[in-house]
Amino acid sequence: MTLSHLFTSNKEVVTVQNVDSLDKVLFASILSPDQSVRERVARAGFNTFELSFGETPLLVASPFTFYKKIKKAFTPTSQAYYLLWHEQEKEEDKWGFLLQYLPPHALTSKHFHKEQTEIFYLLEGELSLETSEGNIHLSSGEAYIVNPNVTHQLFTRESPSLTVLEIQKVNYKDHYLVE
Amino acid sequence: MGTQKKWEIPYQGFQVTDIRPGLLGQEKEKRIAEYNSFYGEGNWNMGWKFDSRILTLESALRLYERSYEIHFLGNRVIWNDLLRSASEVWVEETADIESGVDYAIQKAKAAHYEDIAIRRVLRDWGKSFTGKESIRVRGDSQHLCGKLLSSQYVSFVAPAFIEEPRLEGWWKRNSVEDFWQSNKIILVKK
Repeated sequence: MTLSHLFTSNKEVVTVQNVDSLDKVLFASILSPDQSVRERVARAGFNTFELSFGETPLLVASPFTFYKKIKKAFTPTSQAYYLLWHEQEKEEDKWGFLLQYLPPHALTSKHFHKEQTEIFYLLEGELSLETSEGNIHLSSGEAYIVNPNVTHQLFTRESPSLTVLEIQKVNYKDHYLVE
Repeated sequence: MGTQKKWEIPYQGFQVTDIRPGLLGQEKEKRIAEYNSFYGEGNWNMGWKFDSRILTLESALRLYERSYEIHFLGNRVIWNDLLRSASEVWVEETADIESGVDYAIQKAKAAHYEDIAIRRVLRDWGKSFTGKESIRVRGDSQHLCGKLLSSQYVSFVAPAFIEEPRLEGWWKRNSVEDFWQSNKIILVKK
């Protein structure tokens, strides 16, 4: 089990094979789930979303509500898909969670935000980030912070990626594309 | 004035009171002057309750710093971001940087310990700032790492020893600041 701590909630993002406890979990991904895992997730009151991750079935669980159908990213040049969006007021800021799937050999738009900070938690797969501060490679369970005014673009190679983005100071207009 | 509990006190001839001064902040000098005027200079001191002991400032700061160290070990994403983004850290004013790793060097109106604890943890683990910006460590910091490394968010290493009832404020429950404010008490000469 790998863990990444979600800053807003004292909860965690986990990639699990054996779900013992979901008490502290906000997002969980389970590869090749069996019936007992499905039952435990349901008992915990979690919502679920199922997709094929490469050739493996993947169950994603969260107390938040998933989209009924996977959505194409809003930015035309991005090849990402969205599974869930949840936003909440936290102290003086608005925070959001985006669950994003990127197929193999895909990329997002190259962009930056002036105020938003984004924390990427990689639930499953491999993910690369090209940023104006350098290139990063994440494996499942790892996380990375992209600060305001840092240009970034995500891409995958052979493996797809499933990523939770925790976004601080959510502002839909704060999105600037870079050629 | 004294509590029923038997406390191990580091200052000879002093006794524990029930007075919890709480946050002094920008009013630190004024509040110290008030205590001097009320008890007489040298007749009072501050301590931090911990288990059955009263800790001196130096001992309490060791727990404060240990909390930051544990946070460093368990929250690499935040600390890596700090190392990457910051050239230095400060709390009250940029002159805080002059304190380096010495808690005793306090030039601002309010005490600042977060920045010093961070520098000491980085020194002990052989890490250095590699960024370009001087980052404020505060709840309202423009940088997420600066915000999350504020004493109001960093978890205290031994939350079971935070005194009840907790003193309420802008800090999170079980944070370093929760310990610092809730456990701080006044000692007076017998």
